[in-house]
Amino acid sequence: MIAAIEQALAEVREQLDQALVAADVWSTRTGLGYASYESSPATGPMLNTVVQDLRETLAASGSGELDDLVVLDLYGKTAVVLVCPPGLGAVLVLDKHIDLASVLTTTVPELAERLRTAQAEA
Amino acid sequence: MKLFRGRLGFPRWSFTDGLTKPRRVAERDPNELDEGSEETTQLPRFALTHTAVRGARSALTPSDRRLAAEHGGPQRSLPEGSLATGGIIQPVPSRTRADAPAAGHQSGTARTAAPAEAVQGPAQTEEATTPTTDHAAVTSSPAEPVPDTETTHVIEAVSDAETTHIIEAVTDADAPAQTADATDDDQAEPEATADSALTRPETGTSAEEDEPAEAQARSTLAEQTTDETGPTSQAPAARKDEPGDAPVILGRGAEDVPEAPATVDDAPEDAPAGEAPEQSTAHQQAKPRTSSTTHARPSKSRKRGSATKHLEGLDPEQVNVIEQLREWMESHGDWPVAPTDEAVDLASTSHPDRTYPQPEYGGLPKEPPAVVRAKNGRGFGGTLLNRRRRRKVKPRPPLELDRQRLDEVLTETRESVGEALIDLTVFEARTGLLLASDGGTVATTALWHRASHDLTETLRHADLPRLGGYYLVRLTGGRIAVVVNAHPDLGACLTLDLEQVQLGEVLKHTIPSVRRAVASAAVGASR
Repeated sequence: MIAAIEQALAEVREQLDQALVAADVWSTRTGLGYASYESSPATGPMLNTVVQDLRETLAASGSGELDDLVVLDLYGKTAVVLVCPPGLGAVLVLDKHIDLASVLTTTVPELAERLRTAQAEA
Repeated sequence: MKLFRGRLGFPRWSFTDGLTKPRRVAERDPNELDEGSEETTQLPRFALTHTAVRGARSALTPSDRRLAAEHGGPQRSLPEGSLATGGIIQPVPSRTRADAPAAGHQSGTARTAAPAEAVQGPAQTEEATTPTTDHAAVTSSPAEPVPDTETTHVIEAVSDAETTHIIEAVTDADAPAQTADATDDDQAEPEATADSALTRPETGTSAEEDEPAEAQARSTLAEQTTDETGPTSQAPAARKDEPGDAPVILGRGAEDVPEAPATVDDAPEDAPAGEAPEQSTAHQQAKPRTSSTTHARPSKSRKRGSATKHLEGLDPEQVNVIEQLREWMESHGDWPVAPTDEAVDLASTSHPDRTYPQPEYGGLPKEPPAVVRAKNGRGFGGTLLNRRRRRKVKPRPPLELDRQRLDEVLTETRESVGEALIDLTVFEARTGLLLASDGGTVATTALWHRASHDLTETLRHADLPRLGGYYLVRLTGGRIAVVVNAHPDLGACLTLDLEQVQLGEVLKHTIPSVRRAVASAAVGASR
């Protein structure tokens, strides 16, 4: 599974090239990272906590459930958090000037599919 | 109560509030009697003596002057006209040498010169070593005004008890008895020891018997003047003014008149060898009695006198350091401005005997600064981040909202997004309170506000930049929730249907327009 995850990250790096600032893949159960690119060890666990908090908040508000995508507009960057059930999470830290719509419509769905495949094969 | 340092050296206790500046001594008119005004300075009681001696420099307040006049009039041994005239204390009338013989034989100290022996003859040379008040009386003669230091010494010598009481006590009890006893001893045993001579008169007692109280008072006051002033400065000058007296020998002057025992301090040098022990004995025995009667504390003038005497014994050339330095400069030339060759050789690293261990120098860091910076984020400067002084941020002004504009924002958003907008809520960013809503609820708004707060706090530890203008969450059912930070005090939460609107359209147009519209609702200083 780790090899597949690394392969998926390598393809994303090829697609996004300079627009990809950092990337990380972690386990939603433990928060430990499987693969990363130019990211801090604290990034994966912290974002996993963010996702868990959002799930709890949405459940309490009755607004629905979290599907698979969280987009965070940061200062100078954009973070796209993927939730790949059953147990993987990923983040792509992108440059601000990239076309986010195209990334969300093409690159992010492809990465989510590869991660699901990697989990299924494992 | 505040302590001030007086002009004369003794502390002045002022019972004021500490704000009122006490009047200076020099600013006072001694003859001024300001009945109505309240003076702010109170001087010690012993300042009465100062006034009695030098009325021209009175430092008393009018109330003190009145008190002194009341106590000093009938109780003083001195003539009333001389002490208090019209309620104002005047200087002590000048005393001539004719008044002196009856004065102060009971408490003279051996430190004072003894001129009486010149009057009484060489038979009483031993007694002449004991002090008499002749010299003291001379010091207060009108021919030569007493310097300020003398007045100061008088004040220092007298204790805090009223001088009037001291004089009275000496006059009433001590002095007459001692005078009578001493007179009897003198007649019975003319070769008495110096100790006994301290307490008996040396001259005729007829005048003393006539006015014992007045004479004793004068002697006490004058004796203090002599004792505290010391024999070094005042005594010779005063004696020179009286041609008939035996000169007081001080310092080098003692060589000229060796037969005159001047002071006990000079006795080992000047006086004959046989008289020295007795003189010292007299001094030692007379000293405690003197202090018990009139001495209040050790006088500073005693030190000054001894210091002056020592300086007189020194060669002026030894004291003149400037002359010595000039001589040194003439002999050695100018100060050295450059090191000599010998000094350079001794200080250099090539010294044959001295070893110079090489300091341990680790050299430059093995890793280049760019690598260090990459590993540590900000490089070495990042370690000091926590110590950096935080800037004080001005508190933001309270939020002012244009509610009409806020309603227009809701309407405009509804029109622009159309059917894709499920709900829209504008809330206050600090508290999460709902300000305006289109289909939203208070509970949902509060929960989104809480989620935003948690997200912001979590991102601080995720090694990611701070949260920017918005964040969106894709929900089940084909919806998307967008939380917009439109203003530092305003936020908005939108729920959109992705079946009705494209995600790209939301990111490019909807979110920016909502941010601008909500921010425009804030007016005034909070904008």
